[in-house]
Amino acid sequence: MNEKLWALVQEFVDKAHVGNAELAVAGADLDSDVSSIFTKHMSQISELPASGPLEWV
Amino acid sequence: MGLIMQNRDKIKNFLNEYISECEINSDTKDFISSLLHLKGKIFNVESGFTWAEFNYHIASLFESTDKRDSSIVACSAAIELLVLATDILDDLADQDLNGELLTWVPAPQAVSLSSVLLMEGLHIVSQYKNPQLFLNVVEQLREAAQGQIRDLSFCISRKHVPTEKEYFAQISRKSVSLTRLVFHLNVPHEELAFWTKIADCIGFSGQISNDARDLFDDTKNDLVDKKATLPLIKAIEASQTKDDGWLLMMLTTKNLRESRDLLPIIRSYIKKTGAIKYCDILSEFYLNKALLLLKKKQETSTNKMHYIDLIKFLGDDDH
Repeated sequence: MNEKLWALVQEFVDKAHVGNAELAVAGADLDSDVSSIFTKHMSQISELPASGPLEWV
Repeated sequence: MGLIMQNRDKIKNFLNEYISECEINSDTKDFISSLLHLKGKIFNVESGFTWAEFNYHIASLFESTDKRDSSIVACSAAIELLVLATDILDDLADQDLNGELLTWVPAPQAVSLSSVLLMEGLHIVSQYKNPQLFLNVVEQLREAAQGQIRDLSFCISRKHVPTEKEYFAQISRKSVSLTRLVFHLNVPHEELAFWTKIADCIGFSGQISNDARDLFDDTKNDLVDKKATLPLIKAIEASQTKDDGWLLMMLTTKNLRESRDLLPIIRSYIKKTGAIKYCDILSEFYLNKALLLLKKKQETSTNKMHYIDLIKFLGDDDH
């Protein structure tokens, strides 16, 4: 699962504009519990890592 | 929120009383009290997740809070002290001298404080839990200590770049052992395997998220010390195929403690490889997996409200 996900992240991270449909098609190769998270994160442009809900220090 | 504050206040009251009655000098008491006010700790009003409350929620799934509330509160306070003890050692090992902790606690004092916190935490657990559960706690602390030792050399070098698999094995020992500790303190022996799965998922999620965040934090030394965290491992992997290993070359030929001006360039590069996105996705995936298992268990539980409280505490907005 992780290898496939990593390959897709690298494929899309360089693209300036990515449509949700394009992401959804690519994400269909992933397990369903990963593909929705993939689509959500790859459609967000962020400068810093997302703050996880579990922010322990 | 009201419920969370109520639990937090009970644990804070216990800690205030316990520390004031402890047979340690007043300077040490003041230090402990100050440490418990740091970011993410129980006395800091801005803290969202605290280990004490995490334990309170887990314990509430297995014990009737009416009858055993004093035990739950005491053990939650103990967890806060135990995790603080390991935090101190972590900062000392990482030489996080600009971090919150070591800027005002001298290293010799910090070592002693860690030792006191560890012993007091274990003492409280021994007062309230049976010997088997006590041993479970010791076992996970042993695991964390062994992970801490291995972590000193778990770095990127020219000879070896750890793999993702090695990273997961390392965090499983060093930090995920602490989430297991909380579950192993509370769950019935026959259910240990199921709850360990949840503990591991929560631990992986938290640690991956922390490692991604800490790379961009100037008070943390993960990047300058070339610690083999997941974002760095994946960024090096990408760099090997796309840029003839530019990142590995930078990390192995430059002293980043002396050349801090390179940090923004390296950080920007890491982000461009997609390594941070990958970590964000994996972190959310593991948390979702834990939440899914909890919701499934909740369906057959007679203790549904406590499950809902825990799920909310872990950050699921759907409840």
